[in-house]
Amino acid sequence: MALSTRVTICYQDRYGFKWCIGFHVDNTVVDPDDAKIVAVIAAINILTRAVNITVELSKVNAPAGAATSLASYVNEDKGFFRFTDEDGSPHSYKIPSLVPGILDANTESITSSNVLVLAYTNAVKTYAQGRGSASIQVFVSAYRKENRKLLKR
Amino acid sequence: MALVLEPSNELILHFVDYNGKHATSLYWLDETETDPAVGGALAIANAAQGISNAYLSVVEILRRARESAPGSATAGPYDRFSDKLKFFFVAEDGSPVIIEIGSPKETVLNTDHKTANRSNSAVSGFLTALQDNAVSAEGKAITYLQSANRIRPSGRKKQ
Repeated sequence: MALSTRVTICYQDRYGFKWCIGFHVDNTVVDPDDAKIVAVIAAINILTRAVNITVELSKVNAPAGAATSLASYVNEDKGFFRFTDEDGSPHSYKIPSLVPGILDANTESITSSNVLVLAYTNAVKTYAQGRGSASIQVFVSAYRKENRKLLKR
Repeated sequence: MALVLEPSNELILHFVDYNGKHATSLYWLDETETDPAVGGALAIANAAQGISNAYLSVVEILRRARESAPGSATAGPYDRFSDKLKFFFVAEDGSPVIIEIGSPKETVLNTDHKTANRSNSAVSGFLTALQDNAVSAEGKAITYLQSANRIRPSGRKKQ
């Protein structure tokens, strides 16, 4: 876990222009409306003629690891995974630099029964949701894309 | 006035491939998922790493809130966002912490209109608020205010 949590607070001046300030608080803070953040916003509000409109809090974790050398597919190659939520609305997720073993023989479609693919689609269905909190429920299909264009080779 | 939380937290997986190119994968999680090292964030991150040859360098969770009644910005000689008051703080490890406040009130400036009046209660209150509540990126306490100067908007040499 990072040593601190980054907070970005955005203000708007009387002409409608938006500007943002970044600062850090200790990494135990998890709420944008934490008393520490509210105290800093209150102090800034006294200094400025603009008004605070949003607060964004960023918490990061850096896993250990390294990229695979001489990989078949780099980050421009993406796996495009399509799902629908509880209301039937579509959601899609992209994974870069695909492991070749999850691709079908045509190297375009992704084997949905592959154990690694199943682990991913199940994790998404279990934990992901839409921005409005509708849960992701159905995995539809997955295929490989490069720069948003299907490959033919 | 109150901060209203969004119903979902954003999960961003930052991948770096062997050539050093960066790519991200975005998700929304339940608002209770606040730690990128556990729970749903960890599960999706591990599963995504399983099907990618790129290195998952950072797992990031963003939580957002919006002010429900922000009020109205007021008029003054430096009321544009491009007029800024640049604060240069120093943390206990000597690292700089720089914060630029747009649209500063003229009452916090010295008579030269270029530097902040350190004895002004708003300026000293800002320093106290940061010392009590904020830290540097490395998690070190903010110790003192080194300088605070007004930055003129580009193209405006005198005013």
